[in-house]
Amino acid sequence: MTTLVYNPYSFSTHDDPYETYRRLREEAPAYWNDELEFWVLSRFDDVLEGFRDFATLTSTKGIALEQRGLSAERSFRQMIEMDPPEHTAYRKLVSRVFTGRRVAAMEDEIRTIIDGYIDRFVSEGSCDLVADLTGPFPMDVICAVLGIPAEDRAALRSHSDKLLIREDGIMEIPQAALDGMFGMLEYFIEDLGRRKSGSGEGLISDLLELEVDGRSLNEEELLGFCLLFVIAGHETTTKMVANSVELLSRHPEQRDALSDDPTLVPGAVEEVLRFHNSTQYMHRALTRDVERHGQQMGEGQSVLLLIGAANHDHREFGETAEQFNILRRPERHLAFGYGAHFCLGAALARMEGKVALEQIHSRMPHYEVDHEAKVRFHSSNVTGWTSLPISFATAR
Amino acid sequence: MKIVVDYDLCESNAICMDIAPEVFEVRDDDFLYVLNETPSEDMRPKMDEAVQRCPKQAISIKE
Repeated sequence: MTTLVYNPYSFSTHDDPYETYRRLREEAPAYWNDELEFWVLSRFDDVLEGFRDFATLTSTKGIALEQRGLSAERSFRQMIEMDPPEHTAYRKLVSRVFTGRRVAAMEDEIRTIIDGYIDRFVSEGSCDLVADLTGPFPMDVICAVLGIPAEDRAALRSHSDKLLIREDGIMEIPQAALDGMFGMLEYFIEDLGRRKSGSGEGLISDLLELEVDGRSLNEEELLGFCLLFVIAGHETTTKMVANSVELLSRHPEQRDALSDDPTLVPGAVEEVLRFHNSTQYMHRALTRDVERHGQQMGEGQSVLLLIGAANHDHREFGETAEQFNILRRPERHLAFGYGAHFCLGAALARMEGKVALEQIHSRMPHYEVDHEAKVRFHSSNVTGWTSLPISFATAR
Repeated sequence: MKIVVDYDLCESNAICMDIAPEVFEVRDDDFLYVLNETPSEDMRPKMDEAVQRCPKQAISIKE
């Protein structure tokens, strides 16, 4: 048997992580990577408990491995890198922006946005799903919420795509990613300036009116919210929809079932979230020494909560845990995390996934993915496609 | 059994309403209302499920 190595930057791991994840759960439920110095927890109960116990596993050292320790040097502050009670104060400012009711009210607008993109290529019988649909539409949706003008969205998307890029096996953040970060910061510094002088609408302008501890949000806090909403609102949803289509193309009977019966779509979204979530892990750091599965884990050390592995754990999902089944209807999964940092946009992501899969399966049924030509997106904790060429017979 | 909701944590995800609409209701104002703070003992499995599945851990049971 080969030695068990888990490196979240390895391109071969990205191609098929699940056998490595299975071995982590079964052979090394508290795994230590000596080269890059991090622990991995991979069983469902351990990952859930890790999210719950913020007093032991802090978010303040970054949420991706390569970010650890960098947050002190930044010009912005994000609530995703805070612990309660500080986190709670910021979260409360925006906690009701994406409730089920508000998201339900956006359904028609989301469908119009998605149909607008499909209209442009549907008669051709083929497209690059990422470039032509799943890349642009979530940015339009989150920008509509934030109040970012249509003409600015393509540039913002290019910055956002760049900043998650990582190189094969390497933890250091590449220059392209830094350029993306600076580009986005520059955009929002100017945008906030315009809004402060009275122009603009949407959630970002609302933030300017909010107070924390009896004072207005300062620039680093405002930038933190802007970056968080754009990156979280765009990247993971983009990846989720393309992952769904790629996965369903390899399960044609389930793909066709969605075309025949659109009421199966919400269950399919849930199963994609469980089976192949765009966010594969979250990074935490230990605030004290603990023992897990006989291993001594030390204060200050990094821990990856491996969502992708936890969601395949047979201890939670039974003997069919490793099978993709849109009829499964799991009671719970960890795709959106758990506890204090439970994904603020979960309802919006589910709605975008539902509407996108409904329109794809009604307007381009029986699609085929060109598996030879598809190009994987390589990142540290986000999995998806840079290019996903598809063809479909029916043009409606 | 008494149902206690921490409204500082609750974000109206409405998972609890799916489990027990006779006890939990998220209304049009986006706030959660507990319709019955002291449900009968035969409701306990559902209440335990609501406590466990609330993604924000905002619900607890006081004996």
